[in-house]
Amino acid sequence: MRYARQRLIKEFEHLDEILAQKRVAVVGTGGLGGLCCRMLTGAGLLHLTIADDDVIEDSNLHRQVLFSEADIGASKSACAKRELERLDSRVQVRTFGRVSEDNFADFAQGADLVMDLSDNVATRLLINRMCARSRTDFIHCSVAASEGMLAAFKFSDRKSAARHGCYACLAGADAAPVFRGITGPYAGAMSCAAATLALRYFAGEDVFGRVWLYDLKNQKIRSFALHRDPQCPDCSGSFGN
Amino acid sequence: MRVTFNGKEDEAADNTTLLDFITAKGIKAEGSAAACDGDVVPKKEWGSFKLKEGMSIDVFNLVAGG
Repeated sequence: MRYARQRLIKEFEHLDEILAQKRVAVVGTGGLGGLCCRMLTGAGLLHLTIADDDVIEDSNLHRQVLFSEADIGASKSACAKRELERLDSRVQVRTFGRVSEDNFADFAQGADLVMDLSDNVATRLLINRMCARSRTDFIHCSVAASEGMLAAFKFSDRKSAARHGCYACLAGADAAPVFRGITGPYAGAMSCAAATLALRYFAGEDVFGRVWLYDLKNQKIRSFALHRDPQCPDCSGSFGN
Repeated sequence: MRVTFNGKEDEAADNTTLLDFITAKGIKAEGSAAACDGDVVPKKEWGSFKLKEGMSIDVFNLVAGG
């Protein structure tokens, strides 16, 4: 009964059955990651690995929907796990603090998909690099002010990866985006965009090789094809020329 | 030559590279990405990538928050 309404959407008719067999590893449980994890669990995902080494602060509560005032000072990943288990008692959640080169293999163990929903470029470049090396499919999502970015990389497919490259091919290894603030609805919109992309991926759609740019203020979306930088230090070693 | 820049008509001199064009707009390469006619151009290629008549150029911010 839980998925009856979801099953009425033709492309998601069998999605809950598919999701029950999958594992997603998510970096970040805040403005983007929290709602995205909730959406994926709600859709039928029963195995998640989540990583966040932050503690909950009052300044998080305007946008981070898994947390409330009583959680201030507590671990984000622990509180996120608690909330996901409240949503679905069957869900199994592994928690991590900071993801690093040293623990990435453990973090991504068994994951069909890694989602980078973190809040800083250094982490994003690290996760991208490690996903490329381990050939783990990867979704990137970010948001600042009213601008959002979403991109998907099929690192498990050498041909796709050799053509479309990685996040560093798009951003440059020295990317230094400006911190510009955030509000709940904009973060929520991008959380749902990322969750939707993940569901489409698990439903069998080819969602890879593109970047989507969201103008959330004016509700406009642009999309462009991704291309590999042949000299990219983060993926050229994995996918060659 | 005529080009489109972020959805609006614009002009660029002949033999202009993508890097020349972006620099002339006062946009810093750091923190930006660019696409021409719907295809992302890796940043290392901006200096050798020549713009063409009628080309559609999109430059966008690399947002990284969450």
